[in-house]
Amino acid sequence: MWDQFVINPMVNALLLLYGFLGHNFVLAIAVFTILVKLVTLPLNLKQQRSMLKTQEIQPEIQAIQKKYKDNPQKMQEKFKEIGYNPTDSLMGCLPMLIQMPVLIGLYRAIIFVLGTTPQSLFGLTQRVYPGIDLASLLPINSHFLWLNLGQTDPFYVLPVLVASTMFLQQVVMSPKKDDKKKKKEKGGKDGNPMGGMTESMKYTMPLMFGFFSLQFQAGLSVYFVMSNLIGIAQGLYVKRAMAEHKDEVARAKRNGAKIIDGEIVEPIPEPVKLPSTTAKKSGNQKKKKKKNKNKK
Amino acid sequence: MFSLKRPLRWSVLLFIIFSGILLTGCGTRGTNSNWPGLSTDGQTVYAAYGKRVAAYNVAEQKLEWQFPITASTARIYTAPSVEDGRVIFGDYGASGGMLNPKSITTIYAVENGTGSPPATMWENKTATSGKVIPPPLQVDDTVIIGTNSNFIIALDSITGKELWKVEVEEPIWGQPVHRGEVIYITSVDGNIFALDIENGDKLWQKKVEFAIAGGIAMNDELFYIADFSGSVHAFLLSSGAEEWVVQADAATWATPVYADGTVYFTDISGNIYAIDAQNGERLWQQNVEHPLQSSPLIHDGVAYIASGPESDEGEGELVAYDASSGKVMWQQSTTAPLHTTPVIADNAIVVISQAGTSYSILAFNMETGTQKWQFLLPE
Repeated sequence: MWDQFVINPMVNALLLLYGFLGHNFVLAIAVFTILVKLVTLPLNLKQQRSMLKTQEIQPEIQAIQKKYKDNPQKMQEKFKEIGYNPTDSLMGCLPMLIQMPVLIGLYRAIIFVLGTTPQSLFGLTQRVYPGIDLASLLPINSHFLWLNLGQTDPFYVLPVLVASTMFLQQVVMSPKKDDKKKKKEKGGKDGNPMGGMTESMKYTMPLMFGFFSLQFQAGLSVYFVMSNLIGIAQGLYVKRAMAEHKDEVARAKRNGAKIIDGEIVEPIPEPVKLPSTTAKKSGNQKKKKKKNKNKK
Repeated sequence: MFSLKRPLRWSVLLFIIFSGILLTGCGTRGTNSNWPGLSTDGQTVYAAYGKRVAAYNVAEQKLEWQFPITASTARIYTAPSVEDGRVIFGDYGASGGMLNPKSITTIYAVENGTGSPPATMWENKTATSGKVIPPPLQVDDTVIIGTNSNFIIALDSITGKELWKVEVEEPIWGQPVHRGEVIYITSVDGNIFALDIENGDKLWQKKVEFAIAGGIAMNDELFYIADFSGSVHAFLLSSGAEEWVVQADAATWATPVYADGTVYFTDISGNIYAIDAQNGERLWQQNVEHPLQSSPLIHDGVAYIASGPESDEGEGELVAYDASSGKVMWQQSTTAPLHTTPVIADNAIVVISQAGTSYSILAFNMETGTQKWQFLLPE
């Protein structure tokens, strides 16, 4: 099952890309990474938005939790008012969980395609779909600059790149520092478990993946670097979009709009009295009046 | 007891979870493992099967010695080369340390008949950093080794001292062969090299269009290689000029075998072929159930083929064919797959089977195919 639905399609996709891209395996990994990221993009965006949003409203969440700890119904109502859904936090882990099999599958796929032992290359022959001319692709050109993609990077360049790009990605995905300071003041040092996790992930993940890259084939490290770079771009985009949304919300609040479920609801304008009673009412005004009536 | 601060707790927890997923999910199979290697000196068989090399006396049915690899991450699957009581083999490299991405490959020479583990004659840790995949070739006092880091190395087989080294473009997986003072060797990218055994000087180099995973078969006049497109080529030993090419039904993987005017080879669809060594004319063709990555063993007019499913689960099969007609003489199934070319020791066909991490040596009667005995190798 695992081989049939995860590893084999990846192996064949990598081989196809390798063939199309002039037998350049680094390019094949790069394009493959972009494709994987595109497939998981909706989930990733949702996860990042949800994470950043939850982090930003963390003080409000904690205040509501504290205030309404004996009244769960009211707590849920208040959460809704600030646009927070507790299940979103759990759903936020989903993209990460989905990506883990992709990552492990890709690891196996790269091992098979690079085939550094007869057994692994022979395994590749049994996984290739009809229509792919494997004989014309072998041996896979695993050389790129100083690297042999089937072996570890002996000069530590890739592990350093993996760790640094992953750290940058974590920084991009974390809330701004001044925001955090405010939260500390409000929530206390240990009052924000999400913040604690993000903070520890910021350092742990890069170190961990940098360490893994010391032991992994360089081809997989290339995937990590590419994936992180795309993650950085994605994170910057989401942050910008969130900042714009935040400005909009602030502007709307100043103009008297309400925020329901995190969405801006514009105030309904008062009906304008026309100087003449005989004057024809515009269609829009009619609609608005009808709406107001219904509301009442 | 001690308690951890919250961020540190998170870090430790995350580290354990991710390490667990990655290490259990990814494992190291494929990066550092291979089918077991098997060789013989006629009386004893030598098996390399991961963490150990074992010598088993077939006549006495006794484990002569086992050589455990001390480096925890190193593995050996190279069929040991045995000459004059010297057993030479190389490993797949051990990790250089937690923070060292370089691996250290060791080539070992041990002495037969010195107990278990046998006395180490020498260890060479500097000649190569790549896996030693093909069996080494001992010629007089020189041992020739092809490596996965694209080197052909000659060592003094008595001292382990490096004599010469030639760099090529791709890894070497096929066992070197020699004729007189010339070494013939293939690299995975389809190159064939003829080198002077004295100094490694390149006498000629020939390239076929497709990859070569196996080695070379030869007679006095021609040598034969099988490439990944399923073509089997015959070249003149003297110049490397191509004499003829024949096409198999699928990709050919294993080293062809020459015996009595016939070339025998297999393909990955489970076909076995016998062709005329002079002109490539097909004499017969047979088929087994499993893909074939091992070569046939030809002995006294019989071709023996060991096979098994690609994975290390399921049943294996040993079949004996009449080498001149291709007629099946007998066939035997085994409880575990057979991925390695059989050998003959003490008038028995000996194979090595693999079921997961469990390896066994099995001996069969050459005439009837009846299983004589089985020995489970120590883990």
